[in-house]
Amino acid sequence: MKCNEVKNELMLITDDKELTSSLREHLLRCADCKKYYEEMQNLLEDFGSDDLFSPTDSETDAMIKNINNEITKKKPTIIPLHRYLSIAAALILVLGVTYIARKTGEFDKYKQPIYANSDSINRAENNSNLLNDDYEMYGNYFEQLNLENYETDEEFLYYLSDEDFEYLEDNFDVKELLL
Amino acid sequence: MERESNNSIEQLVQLAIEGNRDAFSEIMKLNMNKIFTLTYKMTGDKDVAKDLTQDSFVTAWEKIKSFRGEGNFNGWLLRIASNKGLNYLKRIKQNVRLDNDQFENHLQPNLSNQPDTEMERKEMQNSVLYFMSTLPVQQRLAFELRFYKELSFKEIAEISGNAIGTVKTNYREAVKKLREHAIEKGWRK
Repeated sequence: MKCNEVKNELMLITDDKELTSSLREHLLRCADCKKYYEEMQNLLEDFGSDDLFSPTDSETDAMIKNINNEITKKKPTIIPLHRYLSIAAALILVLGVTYIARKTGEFDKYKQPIYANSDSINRAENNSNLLNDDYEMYGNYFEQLNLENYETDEEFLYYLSDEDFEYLEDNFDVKELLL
Repeated sequence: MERESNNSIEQLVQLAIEGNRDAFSEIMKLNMNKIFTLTYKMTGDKDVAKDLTQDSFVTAWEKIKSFRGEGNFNGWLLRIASNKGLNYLKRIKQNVRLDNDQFENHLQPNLSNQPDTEMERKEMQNSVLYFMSTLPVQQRLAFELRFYKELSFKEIAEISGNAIGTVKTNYREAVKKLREHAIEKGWRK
């Protein structure tokens, strides 16, 4: 190992026990690295210890007291057991009544029957005829327009009369027509 | 100083998971020093360190059920506190570099593990805090966890969420700066 590499490794060491055999060997034969290592260890050793920053006993006690107060304040509210029981009882009651009502056919009383009468039948027939009429009318209209005469949609729109455009706009989605 | 406890930390953690507040108080007493000194040196402010320490333990209590014994509890706690410290530094959007003028009178402190007087102790504290404040936050965290908390690089990587290589680089940079700092201040030639 080169001295630079050794010094890089030595910088990471905080205790002699961490020295690898190759580092030990190098230190035995290199006075410069040995001196560097010793200086580094002395510097680290001298550079104070955690004890310098320890809180006093009264500071520790005050912090513990504050933490306990904070924890107590944040304690989640526990719902008493009888509350859970009353909620469960209410749920059982509602579900039970619903089940029994379904079983006995009680709900059927409230179902609205749908009866067909002459009015509703006529209305349905009219609607159906209107749809057929519309379909026929639109088909004829497009035939009259002779769409194949126009090469592009833009060309078609250009030659379209105001009246036809208004009709198309009222009855179709113009964007869809252009797609 | 760490306080003694009759139960092992594993037993205390198990009891705390079951909701035992007394066990959690024991855990706090055992780890208070570790968490406080970490946040103190990260932020350089004693009052902020107190707040962050308290906040860390409140979070630990709230999340203790999620601790499933993967990794050690010590590392889990340190991760919570480190995140609190990093978030604080991110929130205030500055590198909390302490004012050098404050330390002009302490350029050559009597470096020793056991300062004899309260004044020497204070000088030493100031020197460390000033040096720490000159480091980018990730280097500061790596230096704190490696040098003061004596953790392995693997443990630091797990706590900080960085790759081991990154942690080593951060620590190495911090040590280089410490050496330069010591030479600059005349502690070392």
